[in-house]
Amino acid sequence: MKIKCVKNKIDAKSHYSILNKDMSDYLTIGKTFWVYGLRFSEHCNYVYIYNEEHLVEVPMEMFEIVDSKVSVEWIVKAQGVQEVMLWPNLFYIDDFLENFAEREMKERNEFNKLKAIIEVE
Amino acid sequence: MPPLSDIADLQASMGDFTPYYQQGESFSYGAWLDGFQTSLDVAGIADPFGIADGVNAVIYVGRGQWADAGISAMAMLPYVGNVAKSSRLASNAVRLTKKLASESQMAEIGQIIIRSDKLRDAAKLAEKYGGNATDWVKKTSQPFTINGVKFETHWYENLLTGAREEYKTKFIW
Repeated sequence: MKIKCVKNKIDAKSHYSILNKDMSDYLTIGKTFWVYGLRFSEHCNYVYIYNEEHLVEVPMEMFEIVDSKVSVEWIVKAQGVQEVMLWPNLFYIDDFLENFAEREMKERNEFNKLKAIIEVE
Repeated sequence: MPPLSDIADLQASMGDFTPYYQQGESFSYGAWLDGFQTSLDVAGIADPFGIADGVNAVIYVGRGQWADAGISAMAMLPYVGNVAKSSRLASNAVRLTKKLASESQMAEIGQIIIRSDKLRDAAKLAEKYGGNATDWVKKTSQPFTINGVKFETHWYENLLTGAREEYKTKFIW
């Protein structure tokens, strides 16, 4: 799945818990990204993109879909009644996402392997 | 990868930077005093009476920075001390650039890289700084490069109150 950024900010009055609602310093409109996971939650739906530094979850409404093919690596899981994730198995591993954010070598290497697989599907 | 000496310089300058937060000293006051002392260093080069260097030495003593106090005291001697002082000015320039970069990073909105339910320390943060564990996230700044070394600043933020805590500079290898 590939998406293109069409806006980098959403309504500031939207629910406070919505993550990364102002990405104007970080996302360039028109840039395309591979999607590595999706999360559907009560107040917002998110895409997981990699910006060459970090995996960030960004509101889906900032993008339009340019390639709608869903990755075979994704596994559906529900968390409570308000959240559904469509993630690669790696993201469900305890501490993977935080260690990745902390630039731990093991997690970075594992993600690079996954990235290579997803990008040639 | 940058030479190890550059990294050591940066880490040494970081050592001067971080304590402003850890010790609870006002960052702007510390930064102002650093700037003032650098101005005294420059003024001391042209000061034939050694007054600027003398004042600087006293301030360094007051701050407990004995090596710098010694350099300033030595700089009161014509010509001899200016060599040591030039080296300190160069090191201060790196430190100042680092501080400005860090301040600039801390002024950013930041990107959330870990949301609360994936954040190991969410409960601890709520206990220590207040609010609910579900409101704490980890953010990062954009990366910045100085002397070939790339770094970014991470911090915890409460989404409800906007409170920011525990800034940390991460070197990117």
